[in-house]
Formats: sequence, C-alpha cells, structure tokens
Amino acid sequence: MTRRRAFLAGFGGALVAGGLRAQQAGPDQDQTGALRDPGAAGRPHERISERDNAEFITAVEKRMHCTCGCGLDIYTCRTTDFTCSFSPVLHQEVLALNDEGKSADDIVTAFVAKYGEKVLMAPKPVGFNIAGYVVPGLVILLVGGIMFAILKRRTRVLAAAQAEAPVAPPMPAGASHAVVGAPPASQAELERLTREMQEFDQ
Amino acid sequence: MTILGQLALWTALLVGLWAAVVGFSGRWHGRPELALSVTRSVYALFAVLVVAAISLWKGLIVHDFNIEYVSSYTSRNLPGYFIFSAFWAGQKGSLLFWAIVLSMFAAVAQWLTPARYRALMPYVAAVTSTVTSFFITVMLFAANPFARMHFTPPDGQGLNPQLQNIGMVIHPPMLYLGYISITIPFAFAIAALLSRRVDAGWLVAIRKWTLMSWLFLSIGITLGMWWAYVELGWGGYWAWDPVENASLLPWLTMSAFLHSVMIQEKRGMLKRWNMSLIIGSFLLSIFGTFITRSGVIASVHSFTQSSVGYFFLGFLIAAGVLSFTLLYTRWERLEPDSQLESMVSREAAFLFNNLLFVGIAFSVLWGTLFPILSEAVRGTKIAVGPPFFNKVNVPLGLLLLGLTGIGPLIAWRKASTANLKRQFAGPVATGLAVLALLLASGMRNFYALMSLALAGFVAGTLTQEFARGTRARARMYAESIPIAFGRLVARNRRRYGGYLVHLAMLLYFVAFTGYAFKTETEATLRPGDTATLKSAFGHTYTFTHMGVSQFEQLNRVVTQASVQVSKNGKSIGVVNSEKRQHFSEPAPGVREKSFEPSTEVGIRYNLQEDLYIVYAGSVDGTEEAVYRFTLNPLVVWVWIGCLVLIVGALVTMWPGGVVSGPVRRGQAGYEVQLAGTGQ
Amino acid sequence: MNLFEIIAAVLVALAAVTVIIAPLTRPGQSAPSGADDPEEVDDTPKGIALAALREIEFDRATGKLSDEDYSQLKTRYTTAALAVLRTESGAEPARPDTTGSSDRLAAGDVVEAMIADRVRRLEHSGIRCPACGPRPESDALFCSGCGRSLTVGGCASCGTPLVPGSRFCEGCGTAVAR
Repeated sequence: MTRRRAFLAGFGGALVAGGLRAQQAGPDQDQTGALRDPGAAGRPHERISERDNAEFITAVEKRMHCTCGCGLDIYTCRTTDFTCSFSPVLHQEVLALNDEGKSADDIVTAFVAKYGEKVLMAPKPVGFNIAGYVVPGLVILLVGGIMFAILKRRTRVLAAAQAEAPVAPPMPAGASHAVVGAPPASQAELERLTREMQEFDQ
Repeated sequence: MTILGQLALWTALLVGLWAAVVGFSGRWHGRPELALSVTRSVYALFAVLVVAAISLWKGLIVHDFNIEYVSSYTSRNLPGYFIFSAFWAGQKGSLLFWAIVLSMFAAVAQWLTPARYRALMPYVAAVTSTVTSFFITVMLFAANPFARMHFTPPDGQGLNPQLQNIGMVIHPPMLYLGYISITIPFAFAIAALLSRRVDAGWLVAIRKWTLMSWLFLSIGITLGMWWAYVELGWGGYWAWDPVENASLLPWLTMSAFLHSVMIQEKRGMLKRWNMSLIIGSFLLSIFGTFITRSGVIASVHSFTQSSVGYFFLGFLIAAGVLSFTLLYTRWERLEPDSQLESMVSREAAFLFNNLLFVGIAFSVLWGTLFPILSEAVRGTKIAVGPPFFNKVNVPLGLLLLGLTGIGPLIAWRKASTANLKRQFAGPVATGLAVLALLLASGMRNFYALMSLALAGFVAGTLTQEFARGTRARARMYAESIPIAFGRLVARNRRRYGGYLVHLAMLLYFVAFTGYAFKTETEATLRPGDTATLKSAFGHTYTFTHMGVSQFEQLNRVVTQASVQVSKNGKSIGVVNSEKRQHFSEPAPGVREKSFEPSTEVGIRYNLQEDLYIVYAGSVDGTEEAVYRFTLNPLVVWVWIGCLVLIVGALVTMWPGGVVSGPVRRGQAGYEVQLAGTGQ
Repeated sequence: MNLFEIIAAVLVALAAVTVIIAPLTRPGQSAPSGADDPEEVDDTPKGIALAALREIEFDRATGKLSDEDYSQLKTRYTTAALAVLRTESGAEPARPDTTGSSDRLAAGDVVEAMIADRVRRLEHSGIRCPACGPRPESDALFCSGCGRSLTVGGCASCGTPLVPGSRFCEGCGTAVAR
C-alpha cells in the first residue's frame, strides 16, 4: 500500500514550487525504505504541494494567528509545530477560500467573521485600535516636547544669569560645596595640581 | 526530606520577618548589637534556604515521586543534569530558586559592601528580607514545592522535551539572576531614602550591582533567544511574546539608569529620576514574574494558572505604593546640585536617550497590556503579534541606535557648532557611504536601509572615538600607539567598556535587520531527491535528501533525517535534523511513550547566513521526508554581539583604580606630621 | 525517619536563632563591618575633580570642545580641584620614597602600619569631617581644614547620635539646630 502510494507520487512528481526546483533522482523506488518505528517520527506528513509554498497563501497565513494558542501565525505554526491539529485545518480553509477566487483581504475578512478579531496578528488600525498604534509615539513626542521646551527655557535663563553675574559657576558633584568664595590660586598650588594630575593619569 | 524542607521554609520565614521588622523599625540606630543581629539574620536566612533547597534536590535525585513536584517534572530515565535543572523547571521549584538566589545576593551584599555604608545596611537587609519572605509566603500558602500526594506513581511524568535542552538549563537561571539582582540596587535606594542619606554614596555602592543585573538580564534574554532559535524550530528568536516583553522591560529601564546615573555622578542632576528608575526596574521585574505566573495574559511561557498571580499582583501594588510614597516624602532632599547648561550637550543627549529607553519600555508595556485594555473598552478580544510591535517599536529602536552614535560625539555641558561639524563629519560620511553601497546593490527595504546606515554611522562614531582618543593620549603623554590605546581603555574603563557595549548593540541591530531577508521553502524529498534555494546574499544552496535513520539515545528514540548541502555547487557537508520520541520506564523493561515527538532543528552556523533545516515528518512512515529549509541571514551576529556585550560589561566592571599610592600616602604623611607635633 | 527529619529541622532552627540572638546578649558589640576595601579613586572628591579636569583636556584633544569653551571650563574645574586639594590636607603629601634600601623599606612598612592603625582608630573615634575625612583633633568643634562644624551630640528630639555634617537626624528626621 505504502509502496504503491509512493510510486504514484513519483509519477506525480509534485515538487516544483516558487524558487524551488526539485529533481527526481531516478525511478528507483526501492531507495525509499520504510521506517522501523514510524510512530516515533511524529505524525505522518502530507506531501507538500505547489500551493502549500505559494507566496500568496503563505502571505495570507502570516497575517493570522493559529487558533491553538501558540501565538504563532498559521504558516509558521503549520511548518513548525507538527503536533498542532489546528493549523493544518486552517491552512485547508485558506486554500478553500482561495479556490473560491477570494482576494487576500477577503480571506482575512472571512476568517475574522468566523474566528473573531483575535485571529489577526495585529489589530486593524481602526477605531480604538488606532490608540494601540499611536499612543506610545504620541506620549514620547509629548513628553519629549515638554521636556525640550522646559529645558530650553531653563538653559536660556541660566545663560542669562551667568552673563549678568559670573559668580560661582556650578561645579562637578562632590566638589561643589567647597568652592564658594575660594581664594585665588597660588603658583605653588597650581604646581601641586599639575603634579596630582600626572599621578592621577598614571 | 520534605518535612525538613517544609520546616526550613517556616524557619526562613520567621528569620526573614525578624530581619524585616527590626531593620525597618530603625531601632538599631545607636544599638550596634541589634544591627549585627539583623545582618546575621540575612546570613541565617540564606543558610536555612540552602537546607530547604537541598531537601528538594534530594527528593529529585532519589526519585521520590510521592512529592508532587518531583513527579510532575522528572522521570526515572531523565538525564542527570536535567534532574538538576528540574529544580527551576516548574512554578514551585522556581519560586524556591528565586528565594534562595535572592537571599544569596542579600548575603553577598551585606558581606562585600564597604564599611562606610554601614548606616544603610540594616535597611538594605530589611528590604531584601521582606522580598525573600514574600516568596517564602507564596510557597508556603500557594505553591509548596514539598507538597506530597496521596499515592506514589511508579514513574514521574518527565520533563517537557522542549525544556530538555542545554539552553533551558542555563537560560532561566541567568534571567532569574538578572531579575533577582535588581532587588539589591532597589534595597539600597530604599535604604538611602529611609536613612535620608541620599547623597551620591548609595549610587557608588550599587554601581557594580546595577551593571551586574543588567549583564545577567542581557545574557538571560539572549540565551532565551538562542533557545527559541535552536529548539522551537520556527527560525526566529524573538516573537514579542508577553513574557519576552516582560523580560525586556526591566532591561530597558536599567539601560536608561546606567546612562542617567552618569549625569548624577558628574553633575548631581536627575536624582529623583534615578531613584524612580531603580524603583521602576524592581517593580517591572516583579511585574514580569506576575505575567509569567498568573496566566493573565496568554503566553507560551506561562506556568499553569494558579492563585500565585494574586499574591504577585498584591505585592506589586503594595511595593509600588510604598516605594513611591517614600520617594515623595524625601522629594525635597533630592534637589539637583546643578542645572543643564546647553541643549547641545552630552547631558541633553542622555536625557533624550532616557526618554527613548523609557518610551520604548512604555510602548512595549502598552502593547503587552493592550489586549486587556481593548477587551475592557470594546469588549472584543484582540491579539497583538509581532507585526504590531514591529510597527510601533522599530522606528523608536532606530532612533535609539542613532543616539548611540550621536551621544559620544557631544561634549559634556556644551558643544559649539564648529566642533560638532568636526565630530560628525566622519561618522555621517560612513553612514551615507553604507547607505549608498546598499542602494547600489539593490536593497530597497526602508527600515533595513535605515538600520544599516545608522549602524554604519555608529560604527564610524566608535572607530573615531577609539582612534582620536588613542591619538590624543599618545600625543599628550608621548606614548606609542599600542600603549596609548591600552592605557586609554584601562584608565577609562567605564567609557570604553561602554563603547564596547554600544558595539554589541550595533551587532544586535545588524542581526535583527537580517531577519527581514530570510528565505524559506518546504519540500517533500525521497532519498536522492534535491531541492534548491537562493539566499539573500545571492548564494544558491542545493539540498540532497540522504535518508532517514532511527536509533535510541538516552531517554528517547531518535529519527534522524540527513541532508547533504552544496553551496554554489560545492559540497559543504551534511546537516541532520531529528524527531525525538521520549519515553519513560516506570519499571525495568517497560516503556511508555511520554509527550508527542519533538523536533530538533539542524543548524549550520555561518557568519553570513545560517542553514536552518527542519525535518517536518515522513510521508506514510517511509524515508520520503518533508523538510522546511530556511536561510537565516546574519543571525549569528546576535550571539557574537552578546559575547562583545559581556566583554564590554566586564571591562566596565573591572575592579581597580582604588585609593592607593599618592592619596593614601598623602594622608599618611599628614599623620606623621601630626605625631611629630605631639597632638 | 520522620522523627529524624524533625530533629534536624529543630537543630537548623536553633542554629539560626542562636546566630541571630547571640549579638543581643552582648550589648555594645561593634557594628557589623562589611569588607574594608578602599574607596575607588574616581569616587573621592579629589578623584571627581581631577577626572573632570582630565576629561576636558581629552575633549579638547579629541576635538569635542572648542578652545573658548575649554578655557572657560578649565578655569572652573581648576578652581574646584584646588578647593578640594586645599580641604583635603593642609600640607603637601609626602612623596613616596622609591629609592630607599631594603632596610629603610622595612622600617617604612612598620611606620605605614602604625599610621594605618592610627587612621583606623581616628575613623572609629567618630571625629570626621564630611569634607576632609578623619580629623586628628579629638575634641575639635570645627574642622581645622575647612571650618565646618564637627559637633557630635545627640538629636534634641530623640537622642540618636548625630553624624557630623548631617542636616537632619537620621533617627527621626528632625532638623539639626546649628
């Protein structure tokens, strides 16, 4: 039985897909041996058809969640999670809707009607969902704008104050408290500072 | 030894409460013996929890399947290291793991913190003990790892095959180490607020801790990505899953803190902001735990749903309210020492860097919670997946990448236009050159172009910083170029270590960009059949199916499909992909299949692009196999980036430069003089 | 077996309690001391001031600072650094003797040890200026280096000993009268 199906498939040779060219190595069917323990190799897998790989189908499937709760899109789930029983069914549904000649958007609409809005990988940017997309950006812009305005004003005020009275400018933290009213530096002190700097740098 | 473990937990709870109550009461002021008692409690807490942990490990090792936890996550034939790591594979065990690691960090903090911070330590002990006690409470009242069952099954249920991976042995502990170690900086922040010693001292005390948590978080997150990549089989490493997002949140706020803390150290500004960032990071780490354990938001990472979530929610709210109230009461003491002097300055660049870090954190949090919000507002369930997060966060991420290149070029305090021109000319030219090159080679993906051009810009900045720094040093100190380079880095470890981390981020971004160019196809092949696939780099790969073999290995039956791969007509070797059927052996000679067969991806790493081969299954139980072939460009640079990041962080943290030589001797000379004058 | 475990648990609990309670039986025992590692240079006031100076030298050398901004900042930071140096010690630091014979080095080590001991005792005596570090004058009311008040007394409100230089009591938060 198995042999015969493999044989028929060999005649079918349905292995050509977008970007992919498969060649038959030869008509020698005996190379395809049976597995000793097929059950350990996971569920039997269907042969891949040209349509399974079609860009149109995969693109549509990548727009929608698998309903098994894995969080992946239908295409990724059916090609990754080989224990999922949902994604192959959803894949067949996509193929069926495509057979009816529906466009990508129509297929997605049909899925939303059937499974609810949560089937979409990303919510449609309409109504309240717009908030989902724009709120973070708006908040950042708003906070950034306010920050910019306040800081701009403060720096200008500070610059003006410094221009008027150039006293005790701000100092690095930790040193600031000790400088108010400091006497001018003597030559010896400057020399010592130079020496300290050299030691510090070694 | 569940009774011992159980009683050890109760003892630990009492010890933790003693440290918390006495520590917070402040009665130890002027009573050093009480302060000593609090410190001792922290050590005792750790020791007692070690006893509890040993009890659980003992149960795991001797296969005491009467213990519910042991029976749920192990089986007799589970390889030894997975028995060891089963300690943190489940909800209950990982709570104990969390508690013991936290108590260890707390003990290390008490032990290693220099004596000059003595006045903070009992408060620090109080905070760490409170958090530890909370975890112990959750275990004792909601998720007891020592709970026994009414019967003893002959064999345990075994560990989920996807967790039977070396990545899973180290990824969760690393991430936990990151999450948990945030508690220490948080404890110091609270201690500083409580003791009203809010000068820069506490910042110095926690510097290494913040870097360490950040490093652990970075490694933990990257290891999680690596695990997802090699184990989950979808050829990616980041899916914007709620739990992944939750781990990213504290990482973002900690990254913001690592930058803004420099402004406080140098200029005495942003004190309140830094406090808030530390408190926020801690709360986000608890929030991450809450997300993982409550099942509030659907995620692949979730532990089974349980009442534990309510405990975490309560703790999160209480900790948030108390911390920020405390911060509010100390608000006046956190006056900045100085003011921003110019909008074109390093300080201003850091401010906007912080805005972006926190903005992205908000954006990720917003996206993660948006389904809940939407359901509350509209009553409709929606889902937010990668397309949503990418749309919102990719532009923000690119802005941040741009700032990585801008910040280091601007001087502190202020920069003049002429200097800016001189600084930016090289990096901007590099970025534009990269852009032109990519456009010429036919790339039209907008975000990819932006990302790579910005990466070029940042690379230009980094090169220029190292080159000009070295040259300046060589000139100023008359040193040869290699020596100048070495000393430049050695004497400015924080700055140049930080630049290495920037380089790591650059590599991450380049790797992320590569994700947009992956190519894949599925094929059904019989032995000898071939499939071909063209890569984004223009190489043509030919895959020849060689056959499927089955054999036994450890606790599983392996079905291995082998593919011979040729690149541009030249053979580059064989790649194997597997199905693994795990089994358990409740009695000698008796075998039961456990779990569904799992898939092991065959990966061939390459600096340009990885071959990623998935054996999807066999047709009709024969050697005719279904494959998915994926070419993943640049993925390997994520892992290389992580290594660079570790090196950079280590350079930054490297100890040294302590007060010695001139300074110490200076004081000594002073004392000699004093003794001579007879005082 | 159960009994054995219970005994073990009781012993663990007893050991923990002993460790925690032991200090309370001996009041006045010195406070727990963490690792006594020296402060990193870059975190001392002098380190911060010198680092600031070095940074602008570097920023000018690498072309980030214009000469005008440089000279302005240089004046500022030099003033700050000098202030730190003045407060740090009244005297010039003794130069380390690097040319001495082995005998002199050994003698030097002894002196060093005595000095270190003295410094430690001074640090523990509590006479410490917030700006200048430990002070030699054990009965000083004001720091001889910078003139700050060194008054060590109890808080008027709760009696908690006050750390020199503090503006508020760390026990109750009452403002310290000056």
